[in-house]
Amino acid sequence: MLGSNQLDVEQGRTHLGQPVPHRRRDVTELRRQVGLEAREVMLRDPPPRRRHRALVHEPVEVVGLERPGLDTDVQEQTHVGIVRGACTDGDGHGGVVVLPARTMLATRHQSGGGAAELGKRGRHVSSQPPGRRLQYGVLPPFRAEKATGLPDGPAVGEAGGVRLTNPSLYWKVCVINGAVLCAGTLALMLSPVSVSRRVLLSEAVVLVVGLALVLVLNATLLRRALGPVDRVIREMATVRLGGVGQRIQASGKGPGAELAHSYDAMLDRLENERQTSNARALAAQEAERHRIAQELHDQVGQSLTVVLLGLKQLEAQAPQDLRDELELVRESARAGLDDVRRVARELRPGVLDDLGLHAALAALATDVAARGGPSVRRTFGPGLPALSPETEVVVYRVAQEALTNAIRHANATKVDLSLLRVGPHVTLEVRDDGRGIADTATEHTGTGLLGMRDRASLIGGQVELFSTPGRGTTVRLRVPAGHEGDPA
Amino acid sequence: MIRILLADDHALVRRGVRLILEQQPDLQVVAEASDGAEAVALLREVDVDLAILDIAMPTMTGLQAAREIARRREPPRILMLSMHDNEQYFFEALKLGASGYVLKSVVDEDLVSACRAAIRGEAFVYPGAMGAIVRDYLDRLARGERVPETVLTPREDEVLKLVAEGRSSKEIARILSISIKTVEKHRANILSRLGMSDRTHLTRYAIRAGLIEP
Repeated sequence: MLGSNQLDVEQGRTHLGQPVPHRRRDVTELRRQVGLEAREVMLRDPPPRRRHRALVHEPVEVVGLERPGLDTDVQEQTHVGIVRGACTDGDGHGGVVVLPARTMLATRHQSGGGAAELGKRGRHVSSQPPGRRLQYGVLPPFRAEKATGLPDGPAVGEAGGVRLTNPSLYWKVCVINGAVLCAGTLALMLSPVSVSRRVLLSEAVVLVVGLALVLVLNATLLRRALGPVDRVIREMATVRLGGVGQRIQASGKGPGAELAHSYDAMLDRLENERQTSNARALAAQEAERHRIAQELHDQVGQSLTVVLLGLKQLEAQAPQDLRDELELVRESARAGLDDVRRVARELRPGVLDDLGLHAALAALATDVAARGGPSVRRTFGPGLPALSPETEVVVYRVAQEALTNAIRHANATKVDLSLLRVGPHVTLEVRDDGRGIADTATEHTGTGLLGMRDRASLIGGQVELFSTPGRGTTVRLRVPAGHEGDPA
Repeated sequence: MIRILLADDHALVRRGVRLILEQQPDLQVVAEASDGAEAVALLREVDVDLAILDIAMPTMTGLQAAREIARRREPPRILMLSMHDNEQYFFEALKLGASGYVLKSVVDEDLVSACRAAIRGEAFVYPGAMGAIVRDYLDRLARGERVPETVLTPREDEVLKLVAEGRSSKEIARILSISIKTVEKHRANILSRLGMSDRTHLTRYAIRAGLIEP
């Protein structure tokens, strides 16, 4: 994607290795240095196409640093500066400079600031020679224009590059205006009208009507071209990630429509990115919970059991006046053990790891009933394939969330929970008879649907929500059955 | 004299359990293992009447060991020790051949009576599972399904309701101002009236009620 050139930067040619404190002011400095470096490298080994050389005659402006959302392996190893400069022929060019992550991390690490993960990766720094590789690719030309200007952080996505700006909106406006003015001029020249030195009323009327026509024509034509731009601006003011139905969906081919299309595409990419990073955070959280629950069980729980047993033993031998006291302490240890067990169970149900998904879902169902919730009917279809541990956790958490909703929000009295194999998928369905949700689009956040979706996306699953007010809600999760699937 | 094998990966827990058991004149710990595999191996050499297995052990868990042990000819009785307050574990343990399940948070109170119940051939039902069973029974009663004929005394009826609310024996004893021993006796009576005094009945019930997979 980026590798049109690969060069080695000699040691000591740039300032990037120097400590740069991790502050806003110094990020500016870092940007400047990335720009210098990019320029230097491009000068030494210009891009193959001649017109791109123009890039290096101007100061290189760095418009973005550390873009996330690149291909994973690129992202892991590198930080990316997105640069642009102006060509002598007036065209702008964007470039992508890929720097090894170590370069930047080294800079930050030496400053002593930065997040823990920087420090962690920074350990590699000392063993790394300062010479490093720098790649850049040159993006398609763009016209520098403020109105539709460069978004601050063009995503470099799977398309392999981005159109940095809309190439022809400016010309379109010029052409439309020019055409209308030409038409007006021609009309003036060819029609038998003339304007006296002292303007007559009839002449004034013709002029005004003509002018009005020109304006209306111009406005109509420009509206078609620029209308979508306004819509994009309006949408941008209110858009939130994590929803659906916020796409502009402009039709036609003009530059405005194209802007709307790329805006939609950008939203999709952002949404995608948000979902991925959220799913990753959820997975990390799940792993951490697992670890803590394990620790609680294996260490704290065992120690408290020892205390409990020891106190019981002591009680039998202690004089009568100490026994009451000892029993009090023992009850307290028991309460502690109960708490530890409860917390561990809330963090991560051990039953999922020890006895599998069926048992865990059954335990969920009996828990709901035990806490005075609705009665839950379970159906497990035959021929369910064995699912991976990650998938099982997702299915379990989605079921948990859906049941919580049924109890907390829906006032349900009956819930059906089923796990079935449908074609190449395993489907979990939680259907309640509660009061339902009026507008499934707006109540996403309240019902935790977003969290379920993000979790599901981690394993390639999909969550759907069906609801009719007064007639209950159905949450359906579909996950791929996987390949290891001999029936469990 | 009841000979006992004790398996838990935590040496201090083993020691504590052993001390509690050996306070009783008729209980004796004759072997100790630190994981399931060791317990299974030891049982080939030592004759025991009762094996007490912790569920969470490295190498081979207590549940896996219980399955191995129950497959032998003339297996000893098996009692599971666990941190997990979850009837799924209880019924799974029964399915694999254990006759009782003791929560670690009440191990100091319940272990000895669980040992004796296991040796008598009765199931030792831990309070959480008892609650699930009784709730299911009351549910079916409410739906008008056919349930085992029961004639409970008024006192047993009171105990039944409190058990269904998930109360522990201790709480029930306090509420009804009777001794814990009496509560336990009532509980055992209720179970036997519901026809669930032994492992096989309980397992069959749990499968029928959908509490565990067959």
